[in-house]
Amino acid sequence: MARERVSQAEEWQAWAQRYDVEGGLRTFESGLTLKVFLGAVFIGLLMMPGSIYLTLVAGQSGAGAAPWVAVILFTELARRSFTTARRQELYILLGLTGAAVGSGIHYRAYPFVWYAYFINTPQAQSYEIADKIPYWVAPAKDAVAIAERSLLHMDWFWPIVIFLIMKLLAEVRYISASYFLFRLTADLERLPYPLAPIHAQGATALAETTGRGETWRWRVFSIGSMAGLFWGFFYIGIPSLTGVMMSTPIQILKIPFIDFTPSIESFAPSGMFALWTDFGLILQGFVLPFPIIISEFASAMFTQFILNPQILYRYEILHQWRPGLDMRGTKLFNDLDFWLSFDMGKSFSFAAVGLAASIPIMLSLRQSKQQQAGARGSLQTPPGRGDFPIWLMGGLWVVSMVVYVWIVHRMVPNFPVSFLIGFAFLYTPLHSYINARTFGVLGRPLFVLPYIHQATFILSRYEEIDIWFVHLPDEDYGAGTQHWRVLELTGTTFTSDVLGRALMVPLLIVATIVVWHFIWQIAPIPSSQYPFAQTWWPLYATDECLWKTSLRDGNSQMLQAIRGDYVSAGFTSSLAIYGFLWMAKLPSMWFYGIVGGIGQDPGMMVPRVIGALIGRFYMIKQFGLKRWFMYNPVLAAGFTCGVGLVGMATVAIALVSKAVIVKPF
Amino acid sequence: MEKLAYLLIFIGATFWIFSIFLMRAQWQPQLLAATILIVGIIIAHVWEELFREKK
Repeated sequence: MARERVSQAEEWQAWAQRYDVEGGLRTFESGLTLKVFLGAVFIGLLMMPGSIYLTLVAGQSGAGAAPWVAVILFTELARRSFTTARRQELYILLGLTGAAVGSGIHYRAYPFVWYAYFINTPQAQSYEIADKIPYWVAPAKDAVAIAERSLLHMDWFWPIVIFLIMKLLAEVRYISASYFLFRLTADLERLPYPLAPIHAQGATALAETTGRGETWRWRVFSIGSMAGLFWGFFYIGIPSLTGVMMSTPIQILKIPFIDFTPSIESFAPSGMFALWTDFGLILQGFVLPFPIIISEFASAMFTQFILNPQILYRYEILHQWRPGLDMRGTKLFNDLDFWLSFDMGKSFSFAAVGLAASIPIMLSLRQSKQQQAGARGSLQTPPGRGDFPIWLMGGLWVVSMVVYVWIVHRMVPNFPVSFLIGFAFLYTPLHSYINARTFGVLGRPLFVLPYIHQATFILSRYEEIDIWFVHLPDEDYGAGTQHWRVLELTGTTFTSDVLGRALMVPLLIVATIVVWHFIWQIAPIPSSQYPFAQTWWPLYATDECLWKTSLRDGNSQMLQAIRGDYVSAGFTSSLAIYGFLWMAKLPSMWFYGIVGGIGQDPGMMVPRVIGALIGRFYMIKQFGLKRWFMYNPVLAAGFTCGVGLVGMATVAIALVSKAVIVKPF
Repeated sequence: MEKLAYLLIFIGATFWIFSIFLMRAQWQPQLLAATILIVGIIIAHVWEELFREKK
């Protein structure tokens, strides 16, 4: 019997509906209230200094779990005040506290103290970089502000002004571009965004605890949280706690993987297989589309056990691999020989396929204007979602990007402006569009163009060092599209989210600079007061010097690894796979799985495959398809919360142990 | 239109295999094959979106 053709439109629509556990029926409400805003400011600003301090001391901030702690605290307060918390409020609170606590924890996010240290390092002196650091990055190395360890000093005027302008422009670009792409991928194409319900259902479940009647959500969330606490203790807690007390931590399961690569080399030379032991990934297997997981695993197995050893190694395309290499060595050499180039090509195929699918939708847009919101091929928005005119967001992005390019051009006037324009208006839209699509289907980014900066600098023949200190206008807004989908699933108006961010971001930028100032005042960074920074910052400084001087002789091993014939092979073979799947009337999900899995390590997919098989052959039979798709995002959200809480408790204990000074008598 | 898409995808894929085995996998013929494939895929989607539903 001939197979019935299911068009891509029908296929995506079906998956999108499956992941919309409430069947698309929702009313939209604002999540930004005064109590939410004050709660986020209070909790965020209270935890932010702690997370920055923890990062400098222990290298872990605990920022992942902090928003969940804030939300649990908020719901408990609501219960004790005999009031309720809406899921829209909780989701906005999660986002705002996450932004507040995560703000500035990475030393490069607010780089003033880092550059104050870097400019005086012996590495920067010996590599002849120290005197060439521009005035808009850091003051001179003998400046009073650096000697006094103060950020609140006029010496920092230009670095901080440039930083503020760049940060605010970046926020405008991120919001507008991610919204624009969301409208294209979620509204127009109806891509399913499989991981978005996990974020949405966590807030929904916690909101229900403050209501009168608890539903299945709270029970499922609790089961997930307990599983997460147990697994987190087993996987993160035991190694971390024993690491505090012993010189070698106890790992019951080796973290992060058990490497079988040397064991398979006798029958699969140049193949790799490292079994990832984070079985929390099983829950991702519950959630992600079954065809993607299985086809991805099958194609990864094919790569590592047939393609690599029997074809690429035999014909000496993988020529650097030697027996005895572990997974990291095998991956490095295989990437340099072939897979780096091939992966670039296959990433471009996602853009080509996406555009090929979008062009006819655009052509049919005029017909679809009469279609109802929620149907594929329609840009109509659901009523009350708080949408913005799409031209306005597109225009905002263009204006803010033009201003950004102009500022960068003023900062490095001798660098060819054509490269900046190319990054801003060709590379960034392409990069973001590809990753928006892969987030919409696979829940993760796939497009990586390695060493693009180095390639640009070589092509531009620009030899000054200042270009390395500029943030070039190459950005990826793909991940941001998922956030809008989560807002939609939680029934939160888009306007309330944008307003919350607009109020919070300026506050956070100023607060983070002040907090860094006070932490710097306590003791020099790095110093014995900040052991993690003392250990790692000198290494980071060496690393940075090596990168910044790597192209002085115009050579880079990585750049030489990129070969046009292999890039073309990745691009064309992926398109051929797509074409054959279409001819065979097979679902296009398979394309994303097969092409996504080519060249990957199948060992890292094993937990997800186990989850997918359990879900498909046990859970769906047990609970039914619809109920299982309602349960699994809530379960995964609870699990994330549980693991995060264990992680935070572990960091706290590690901090206490590091704060104890052992006297030698 | 559906038949044309089939034909172009088939020609593109066959030409790519030909370019790998008989033209030393040079990037120029591979990209020519890719162009044929892209045209075929676009026609396939145009047919799906604009013509198939009408039928």
